[in-house]
Amino acid sequence: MARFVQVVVDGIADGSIYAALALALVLIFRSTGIVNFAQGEMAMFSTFIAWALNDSGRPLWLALLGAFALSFLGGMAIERVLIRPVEGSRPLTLLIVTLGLLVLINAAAGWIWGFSNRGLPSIFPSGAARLGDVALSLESLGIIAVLLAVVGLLWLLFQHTKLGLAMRAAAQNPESSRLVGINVGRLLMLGWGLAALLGALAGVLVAPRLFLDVNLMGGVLVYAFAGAALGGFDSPLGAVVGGWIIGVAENLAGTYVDAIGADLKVLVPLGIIFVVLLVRPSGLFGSPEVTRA
Amino acid sequence: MSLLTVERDSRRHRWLRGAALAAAVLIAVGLPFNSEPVINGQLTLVLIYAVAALGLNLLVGYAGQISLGHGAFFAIGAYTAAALIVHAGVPYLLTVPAAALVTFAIGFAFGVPALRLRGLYLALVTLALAVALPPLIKRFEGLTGGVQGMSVPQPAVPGWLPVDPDQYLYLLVLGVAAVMFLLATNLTRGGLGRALIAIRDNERAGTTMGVDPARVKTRVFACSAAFAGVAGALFTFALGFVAPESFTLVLSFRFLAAIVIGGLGTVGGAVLGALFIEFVPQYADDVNQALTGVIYGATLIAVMYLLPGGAAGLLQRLRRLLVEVVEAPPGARPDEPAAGTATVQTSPGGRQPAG
Amino acid sequence: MSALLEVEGLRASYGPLQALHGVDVTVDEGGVVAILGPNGAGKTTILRALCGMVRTAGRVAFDGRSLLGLPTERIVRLGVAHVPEGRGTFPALTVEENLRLGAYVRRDAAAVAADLDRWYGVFPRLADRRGQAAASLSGGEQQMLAVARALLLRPRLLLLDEPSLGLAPMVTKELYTVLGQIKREQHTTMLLVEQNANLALELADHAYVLEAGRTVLAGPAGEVRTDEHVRRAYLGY
Repeated sequence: MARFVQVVVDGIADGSIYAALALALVLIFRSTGIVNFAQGEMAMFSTFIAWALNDSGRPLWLALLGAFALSFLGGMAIERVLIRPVEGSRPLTLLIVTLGLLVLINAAAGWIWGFSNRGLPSIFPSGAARLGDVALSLESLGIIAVLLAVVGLLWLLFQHTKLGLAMRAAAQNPESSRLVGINVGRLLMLGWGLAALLGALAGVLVAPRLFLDVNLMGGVLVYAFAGAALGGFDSPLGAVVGGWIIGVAENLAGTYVDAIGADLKVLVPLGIIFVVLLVRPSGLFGSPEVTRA
Repeated sequence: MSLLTVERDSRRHRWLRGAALAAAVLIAVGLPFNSEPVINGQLTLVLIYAVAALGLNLLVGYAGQISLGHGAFFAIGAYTAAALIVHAGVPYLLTVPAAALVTFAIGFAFGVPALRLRGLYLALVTLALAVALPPLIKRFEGLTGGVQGMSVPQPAVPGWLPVDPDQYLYLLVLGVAAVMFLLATNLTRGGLGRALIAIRDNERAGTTMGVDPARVKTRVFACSAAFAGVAGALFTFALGFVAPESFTLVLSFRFLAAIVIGGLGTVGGAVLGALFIEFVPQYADDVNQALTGVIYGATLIAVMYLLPGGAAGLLQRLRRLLVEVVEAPPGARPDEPAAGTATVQTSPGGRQPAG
Repeated sequence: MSALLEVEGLRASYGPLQALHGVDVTVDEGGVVAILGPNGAGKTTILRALCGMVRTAGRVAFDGRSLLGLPTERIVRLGVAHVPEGRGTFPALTVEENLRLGAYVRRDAAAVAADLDRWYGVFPRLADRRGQAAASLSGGEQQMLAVARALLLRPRLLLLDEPSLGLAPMVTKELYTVLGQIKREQHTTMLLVEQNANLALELADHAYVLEAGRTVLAGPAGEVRTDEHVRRAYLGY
């Protein structure tokens, strides 16, 4: 029983990381209707920036802040420079551009920092909190807490600020938004900056648990996609719940299903995506338009 | 202005087309006899990638859908051929249609749920497949040889053919590739192609014409998977060896890069793209391991911005500098002497200004 | 009374298709101008051209400054509110959120709150539904919402594109009563595009008739109303 709780909590922690990246995907999807396949690589790049800042002597918290700030700016720049010019094109074109970006950023990271593994320290203390029989890793608890805090902040932003309202409006109906004086382009940049920030968060949370190399986020991206598909691609709540479910399912399957073990855990999101597509394509919280061909 | 103007389907046009085709065939068949085995090996790979790219182009260029798992179907085809040869002693030629059938079936199974929905979901499902396949290959060691891979006896040169093994492999692959190219051309010009054109620009209009977009797209996806499967089987022949590290997610991206850079929706683009992905890494890797990726990524983006027709589009434009094909003026017999028709120029595009 | 909006020789096109072939319109400060005409005449295009949503050439002066080439959101900040065809409400946002967005560019929070109360008073049905999603409102209520939202800008110029379109006759009457009230009490300058010539001519001071992208008649509303052609084509008698 104790083990079960531990596995579930670890699963929610992993799921929180997927949720962070899934939130980034959903954010961009809601505001522009495109799926940014490069989100994972952008996150990896941000994580490397954090590592580089830390490795060159700065304390970890400063390195993280620096990486977050640069990621935010980078996300805005990518939208303005690379995406804006092709914004009206057909979805296939945009998709290929994001895929090109994926390949480019991945290679750029390899160029700058090489292809060997690095270590990024965790901001959370090592060790565990004990609740009777159960030992819950402080890192897992910390990750969950951070995600909840971030979700709370996003909720406040979108539901209770003028800016958040404007962002929601611009995502729904850009033309009407212009008619009330909203600068839709500027808000799109902001959305991409925010998404990049969320991706960076996912990256720095997952790096201490795995190895930091250029392939850090490849797997995470698949899990994040599965989470977003499960939750509904246009639902932020769905991204979080979907991410958590994927994380828990993956960990439970890896621990208790012998046939799967550690290396086939990736079958779990694949299986879940299939079930979602067959049973309820719009996901748990998504709107029906999300799936319309 | 072009050097030469011919009417579509006129005798001169058909003669030119025939001459070009004959030249291409002669060069293609003659190549292996004039180059080193190493080059022949590379050219063989180019042909193999071209077959795979052709399949992907059907899906992306004609049906407008994205697959991130083309490499996975390539792998499935390769392993199907390998397993059949090693474990069941099946003659190698039969493994090609076997690989096609297996990949067609799996492609169909994946396509059915995904293609009722927007394109994003096919991308998702194929991405998951591409990521899940290498671990699966490693797990089923008995069948696949696991992480170390499996040696596969290569096709032996038939006694009556006086060619070297590398030349034989090239010609074998060339033959299969030619068949696949013909198949692809037939598909795009026949019923499936017409259905695709009906739904590509306006799905709802296609539905009223009795075309079910989801069924058409699923069939195209399954066909594209089959092309990858055939290419994979040929890959096994060419290498004599299969291992999971040849079939990572990166391979799927390379195929995508090939068709985008080569030219979406064109048959020639498949060959041009295959050339790109076979030879660029060889030179780029010498400079820097990451350079290949940088070139792929940057070229993908640049092509979308500047040259959506890809390399094939560029070549088309160059060809137009030499030979311009114009529509026949109404009423004129296509076999009229060219001298008279050379001065008959329809207005650019041949369209009347809007009334 | 000075001209708030002066349009001269307005040409507009959608791609290769030219929709307006040189239109002149003048709107005096505090006045109401109606533009009538059949479907496809280009009436909506005029309003879209004023808001920078269409390729435009000619002269457009709003309070002395040219609007040509400005992006829509800048034109809005100058005080031009547009109630578009199809209402342009945000269906997934609540009534209150829709209204607040109308005041997006304003910085005077207290005055915005006061205005909100006032317009809830004028449109009590919106007040009843203030927490509901805009998509759940009836057609008439959505039109009221769109008008109220535009008025929350405290616009110097209100553009209305076919406000009666798709509305039941009673609801249309109600809407025009409110517009009349706004005209009398607020003196808001309005440029109104309408197919329902009757109500439009009652409200307006001046009117233009547009056919196939050209003005065919212009004058005080009373005169336009009694014109032969207008009576037969647009007033039905």
